[in-house]
Parts: sequence; C-alpha cells; structure tokens
Amino acid sequence: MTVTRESAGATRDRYRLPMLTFVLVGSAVAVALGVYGREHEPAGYALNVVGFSGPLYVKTWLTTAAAVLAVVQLLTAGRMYDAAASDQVHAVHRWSGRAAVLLTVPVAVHCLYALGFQGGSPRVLVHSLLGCFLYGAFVVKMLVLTRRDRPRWVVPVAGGALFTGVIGLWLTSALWVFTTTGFHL
Amino acid sequence: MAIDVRAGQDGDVAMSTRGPLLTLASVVVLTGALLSVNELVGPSTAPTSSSSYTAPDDGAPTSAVPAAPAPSSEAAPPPTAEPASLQAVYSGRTDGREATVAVAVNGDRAAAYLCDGDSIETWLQGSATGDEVSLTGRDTAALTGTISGSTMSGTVTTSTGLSWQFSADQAQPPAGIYEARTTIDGLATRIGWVVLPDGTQVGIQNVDGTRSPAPRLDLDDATFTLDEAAHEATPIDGADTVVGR
Repeated sequence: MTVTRESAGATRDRYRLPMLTFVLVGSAVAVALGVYGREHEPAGYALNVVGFSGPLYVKTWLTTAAAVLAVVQLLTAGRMYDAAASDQVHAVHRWSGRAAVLLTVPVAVHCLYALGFQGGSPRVLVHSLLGCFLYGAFVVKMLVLTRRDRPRWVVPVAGGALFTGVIGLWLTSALWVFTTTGFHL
Repeated sequence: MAIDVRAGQDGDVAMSTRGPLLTLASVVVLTGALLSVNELVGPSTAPTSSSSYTAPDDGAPTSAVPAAPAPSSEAAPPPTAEPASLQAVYSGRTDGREATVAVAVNGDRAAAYLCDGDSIETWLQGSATGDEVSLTGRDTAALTGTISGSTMSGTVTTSTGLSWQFSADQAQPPAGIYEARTTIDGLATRIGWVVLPDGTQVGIQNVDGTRSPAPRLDLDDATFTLDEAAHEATPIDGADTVVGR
C-alpha cells in the first residue's frame, strides 16, 4: 500500500468539485421530495401490520427501530473514526445503516403519499422539512463514500447530518405519538 | 498540516466503492416498489379534485353574459357560459329531519352530500338533465330528485340502505356543501358539511373510518380550526369528484 502525502489544501481543492456535485445531487433529492409532498394530492391508505394497534403505530415502531439503529451507527462510527476498528465494527456499521434506512422507506412513502408535506403546526413542519432533508443527506453520505480522496471531516459531517435527521424525525413523530397516544404496540 | 491520502482512509481497506451505490440503489428500488403498489391498490378514500368553483361572493361576474337564475341577493351567482345551463346549490333536510342534504348542480353534473352531524354521511355524484338529477355513491347510496321552481325534492338512500324523502331549497352561498381533507394524529381525515339556507351547518369528520361531529365551519371564509390550527374547507361544485373509484 503506497502512501502519498499531500497538503491539506491540495486535497481540499481537488475535492471541491466532487463535493459540490454530491451536495447538489442530495439537495435536488430533498427538494424533489418536498415538491412531490406538496403537489401530490394526499390519498389515504393504510399501512396495517398484524400485531400493531394500527397503521400509526406501525410507522411509530418502524421509526423507533430506525432511531435505535442510528444510535448504533453513531457508536460504531465513533470507533471507526478514532481507532483502527475491527472489520466487525465496520460490518455492523454498514449493515445497521442499510437496515435503518430501509426501515424508514415504508414510513416515508406513507407520509409522502397519504399525508403530504404539511405545515399545520411547528412539529409537523419540522417533520416535513427533516423528512426531505434526511434523504438528501443519505444520498450525500452514500455518494461521498464512493471516492477515497476526501478530507477527513466529510464523512463525520455527512454521517452527523444523517443522524441528526433520523433523531429529529423520531422526536417529531414517534415520541409525539408515544407521549400523546400511549407507549404500546 | 499534511493529510495522509491513502486507500481506505478511514482504516477500512476492504471497503469497495460499490457498496454505497448498491445501498442507494436498493433504497430507490424499494421506494419505487412501494409507490407502485400504492398506485395499483389505490387509495382507500377518494382524492378530491381541486375545486374550480369560485364562490360568487369573491368578485364581480367575469363573463359578459349575465346569468339570472337566482333572485337578487348580496352576491351574484357566477355567470354561466350558456344561459340555459344550471349552476345552483340546493340544501335542505330529509322529510323526517333525520339528516341534512345538499345537492350542487353545475350544468349536467351534480354532486351531493347527506349528513346527520353524528354518524351518517353519504357522498354522491351524478348527472343533471333538465329538471331531473340522478346521483349514486358507494354501495347502495343513491339520490334522485326533481327540480320544481326553486325547490328540489326526491329520495335519497345512504350507502347502508337507509332511504328518505327530502326537500331542498335553492340557496345562495354560504349555503351548500363543503369538504376538507387533513390529518388528525397522522390519519387521513375527510370532513364534510351541509350548510342550510338559514345558515345552520351540519358536518361529520371521518378519521380513517371513525365518524364524529365536524368542527364548526366559519362561513365567512370557509375555515375551521382543528388541533389549534386553521384549515380551509372547499365549497363543492356540481362538477367536483366526491366519490372514489
């Protein structure tokens, strides 16, 4: 394995265009989701799974599972950043991340399709904005991982944005459901 | 300050650049699959068409041909393109006062709503020919009526088979049918109101199948309050789609 030492400035300059591209693509995704949520005529449909008290709680628990996996993501990411983490830690990070984002997809599809982008209350507005932001951040995180020549701050920032999005979404939805309608399946 | 640029900068020498792209692709595929299922299966409640009905009290007549089917009032009715087509709203009660009924007619299309303000509501839509209207709704819901002068009378049947005679008088806005779609606790909600000629309003909100009395509708600007937030209700015109597929 060869090691090339170059200045921080050179790395940064060379990465400028790719970084800009990734962020633009992510932003486009976020905006597209917002526009779709706003323009699409909400059409109610049920997300019913046996064992849960209703569609709302299916979404609530899926979101909670994704939030728990996001915490796993944060902890494994911390190990990967500081020390030479084992391959298992890397594998857990990748697979918990994949599971987390796939779990959010049915929830997000229901939110967008059945409810749309709503601004009726601060909680709902923040949730709608974070929902769009989350998938933009996810796209950016995946794209920055495709190139090796990135400054060290890029992955932590992208991952941190993703983590913030998931937790913010959980706070504005699942936590609200649990505290207003009860903590149960 | 020097930065090491080496393969696997984060320490993971085995990481390929394909993994992230595959993850991204799987998310896109799953999203597309779920959206397609939605489109195929169809929504459980009918999407409402954006109403193009302009309430007459929001401006002067826009057409050069004035229509004069209604008696003079504070607000003139919207002018119709052909002087012969009818654009009017009738609202009233079933003969035994079981429920309120309103029928909106626009040319040869009609939409109607029956509501008892408690748990019985029916949306209907259909056609208007001459002085006869014929509408249908979900299951056994149906309405047939005859217009005589400024009164429509006939029979209305709910989707559960209850059948009543009704009589409805032609009325000016704010009388008529109003609809709103919103969410309560994350569940898709549809609210309908009948506003009678004397200003009485009767409405039902349907939260994912559970019916209860509707919130009060402000008849000045067709808004209502739910969860301490203001929402808008749409006046229903005879050409609107109110019954799902």
